[in-house]
Formats: sequence, C-alpha cells, structure tokens
Amino acid sequence: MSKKPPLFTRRRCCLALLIGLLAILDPFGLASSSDKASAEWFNRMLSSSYPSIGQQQVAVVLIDDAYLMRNNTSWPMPYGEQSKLFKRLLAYKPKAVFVDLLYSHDHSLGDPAQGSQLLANVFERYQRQGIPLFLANTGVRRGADGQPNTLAPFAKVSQPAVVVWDGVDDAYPLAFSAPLRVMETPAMALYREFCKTQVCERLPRNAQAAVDSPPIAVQWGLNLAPEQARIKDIGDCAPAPHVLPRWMTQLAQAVFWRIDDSALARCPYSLTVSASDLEVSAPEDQALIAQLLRDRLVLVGASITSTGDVVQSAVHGQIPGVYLHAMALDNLVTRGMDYDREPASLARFNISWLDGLELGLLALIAVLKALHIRQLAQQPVLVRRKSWEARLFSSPYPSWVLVLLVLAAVCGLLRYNHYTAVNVLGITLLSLLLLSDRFEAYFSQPSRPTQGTQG
Amino acid sequence: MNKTLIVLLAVLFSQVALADVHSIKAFLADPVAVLDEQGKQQRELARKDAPTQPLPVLQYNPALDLVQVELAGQKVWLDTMDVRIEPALNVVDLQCEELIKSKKKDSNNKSTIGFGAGCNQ
Repeated sequence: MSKKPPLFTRRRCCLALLIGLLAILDPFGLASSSDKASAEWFNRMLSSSYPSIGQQQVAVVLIDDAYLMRNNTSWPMPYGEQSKLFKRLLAYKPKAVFVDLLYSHDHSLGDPAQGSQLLANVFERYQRQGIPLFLANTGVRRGADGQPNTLAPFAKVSQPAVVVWDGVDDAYPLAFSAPLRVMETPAMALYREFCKTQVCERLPRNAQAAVDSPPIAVQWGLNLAPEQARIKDIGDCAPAPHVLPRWMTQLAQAVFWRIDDSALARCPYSLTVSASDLEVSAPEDQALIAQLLRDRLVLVGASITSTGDVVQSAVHGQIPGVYLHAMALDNLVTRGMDYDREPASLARFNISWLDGLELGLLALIAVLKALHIRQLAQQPVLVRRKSWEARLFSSPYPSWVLVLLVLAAVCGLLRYNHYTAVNVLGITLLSLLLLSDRFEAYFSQPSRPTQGTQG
Repeated sequence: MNKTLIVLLAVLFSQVALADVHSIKAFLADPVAVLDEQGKQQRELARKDAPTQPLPVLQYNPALDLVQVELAGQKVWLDTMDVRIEPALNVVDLQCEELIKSKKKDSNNKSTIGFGAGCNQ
C-alpha cells in the first residue's frame, strides 16, 4: 500500500512560514496600507448607519476667517475679542466647554489694558457659574527646555485636557501619561462631565484608569444634524446617494487606488455653530442659538487658513482638528465604554492577535486550495469521507464561499466585541486565489471562430 | 413763523435724543453678573432684586461689550448678554452662511500664518 504524500511538502511549509513572516514584518508597508484602506472603507460603510445619540449632545463652535474679517480682527485673536466670544458662549449655558486653543504665549505684552486678564476674567465666570471649562494642554511643564504650555492666568481658572500624545497610531486615547502628569483627553474629560447627569456604565474611575483603557478607533458619522439647516446653508452638502451605488463606488475606490476617492461627505457630522452666530442680536435668533447650545457639550475650535490644525477623516477628507475631539466624544456618548477599539499590540512590535487572526484566514485559504488541488489530482486526503471531500473540493466554489462565510463570521464576532474588523478587502482579494484554475481555464480557451465566409 | 419752526426743531431733536438713550428693559440672566470695568465679576444680582423700571445705560464699552449702569447708587458694569437693551446697541442678524466644507485628503497648504503689525508685538 503506497503512502499518501502530505498535504504540504516541507518546502511549501517553509514558504508559508516565510509568507507569514513577511505579512507580520510588513515590508514597504504593503500590509499596513492594505489594512488602512480596508479600515477606511469599513468606516465609510458604517458611517451612514451611525446613530445620532451623541450628535444631540455635542456641538462645535468654529472660529473661521469670515468671523475674523467681519470683526476686523486678527489671528491669534486679541484677548479682548476672545473675551467677547467666550462671554457670549457663556450666556447660552452649555453643559461643559473645551477650548481647542493653546494659550502658550502671551501676546498681550506691552498692552496697557493687560489683555490676557480680560480673557481670564471671562473664564473665571465659567467657574463661578459651574460650567466646566477645559483648555488644550501639551502635558509638559511650561518653560522646561523651552516647552510651551498654558499660561498661568488661564491654567488657574480652567482644567487641562491633553491634546498632544503618541503611541496610539490613528486611534484616540482616553488619557495620556504626559510628562507633567496623567491627563485626560478632551473627549474623555467632557464625557466625564456628561456622565455626572447620566448613567454611564464602566466609566474609568480616574485618569490613571482611563490611561489603561484601550484607545478609541474613531467611527465617523455621515448624516448632518437635523438642526444644522436652521442656522447654516447646507445646500452644498451633497445628499448621500443611494446606499447600493455608494457602497459599490466605495468598494471600487478602496480596491483601486487610482480611482478618485474624494471625500464621501464634505460637511462635518457634528452640529456646527460659527463664532459669528453667537453675535446675533434679535431675541428670536438668540433663542434659536440657545436652543442649540444650552446644556450641550461644546468644543470651540478654529479653522483659519494656514494655521494647520487639520485631521484626516475617513469620511470627510481633511477637516479641522476640533472635529476629531467632537467625534471621539460622540463615540463615547453613543456607545459608552463599548466604543470601537483595536486590539493591544505586543510590546516593541506593532503586532496584535488580530494579525494572527488574519494569518489564520490566509492559512485556511492555503489549506482549502491544497485540498482542491489534491482532489483534482485524484489524491483525496480524507480516508473515511471521500465522497464528502469529492463533493466539497472538486469545485473551488464551495471553498470560496466557505472562506467568505468564515470571514463574515469573524467580522461579526469582532464587531460584537467592539473590535475593528480584520483586513476584509485583502482577505477577500486573496480568497480569489481559490478560483485561480477557473480563471486560467477561462482565459486559456481558444477564441471562438467567427461565423460567415470570407469573400 | 419762527416760533413754530423752533417748536418743530425742538420736537425733532428731542426725538433723536430720546432714541439715542439706551436703556435696560429686562434682565435675562438669573443671577446677573455684576462686573468691574475689566469684566471681572464682583458679585451676583438675583433677577428678583434687579430694577423693574428701565435702567439707563451710562456708558458702553465696545471693546469688551459691557454696559455701565447705576445700581443702588453705585456705577457698575453688566454683560450685554445678560440684559435686553433697547434700542439695541448692535444689530447682528443670523448670517445663515454656508456650512464649512472639508478639504480633499490630498489638498495642500504649505504656509504658516504671519502675524505682521496687526498683533502689535
């Protein structure tokens, strides 16, 4: 009785090991790029069904070029101008405020009116009225080795929220162990204020516990807040096309990078009130703004040309940085501590168990392919279930469907446990290897002779 | 004829003068923050304790958007957002301007804002 050859020869095993190693070591960033493209595609796909729970609690007040021009002022804004802006915001009674401006250098020096004190006076009024105010903080000691941070008069009348961090790639941490001390990020700081009046499960006890929590893989939203149209012209915010063509377009853009993948949406998801809107004088207009801002978590940011604070959104393209804080906060309000996350990586290596899972799926494809080849060579592997094996592996389609089903189940399981998906696009494309003999057969067929006679 | 003209002019200018007198018609905030000239809060005034009669505005500080009034014989400053002033000091309508748009992910701006003389540094 002849001994059956193994499913994989030793050389093939070595080759598989090499491929696995290459996938992990990520030469030229090929795997990372593919992972990122897949994650962005997934983010876009899910953005249209993102619930609006957080959108009703969060608002962004944006200082823009139009506001500066209308008030004949400059950037950075003089403290007197800022004091007017922030006292107007105070009058609308937000629940808590984060200011995404770094007050690191005093530009009122030589000003007889002592401008910085004018703004500090307004910030103090927030404290007196019990409205928590968080200012952007670098997390370093001001002046040490020339490091910038919030000026003392402002630090006294506010709380810090760290806006400088590293080590989490594109994710958004809840807190960061900064050189000065452990500090919470703006989204977490405002979420903690939100939780003072709401029931929030498993809220980290303190900043140290927040550091130990996994960072947020920010899920962007797509649909504008219904109230947005009451204060802004949203005519140019293109309505989302029908779901199926949109998904197909996004899939094509994610796979074929030469296809224009301009932003899916051009207008920000979070309710946006511009600084000019706070100036309105008519009682009915003021009532409208009050309706939008009262008891909301408000983030104040800027979108001034050539100031550089922009972030990349999977859904929008480049968008002012304050919207990242707003969206992370929105994720927290909407999903609580069940926000999307990426699995923790091994120390010193950017490798997680998700990479292992992806390798497992690749191994499954390899095994199914080998079984199919053996079946074509009439060398079945299973001794007792030969008929089953013949039925499953004589055609590559059952194997391909099986891989897609396993992939869908893995994605579903990960999503259920609030983890980001595996590289769906990469694995789906690689699964097409199972059909390679069919492709070869199709393209090797001789061309059909044309009908008709030559004259 | 001259007398009639004088009376008419007097009536006309008195209307203009009357129209220029801004007064606080209502206190919107509760409590109302009582401030010094730098906008620093001195104390609070409960709305129920605020004057019910129109309160003339003595002075307006446009740089800080504060108004000076006399409360219980003392000159103090109030935030214009806490009160309703008639006629309005500034009329600003809701602009209903276009909502901000994101930029394409490959858009570039290789510059930093320059401060120039405007910053008085």
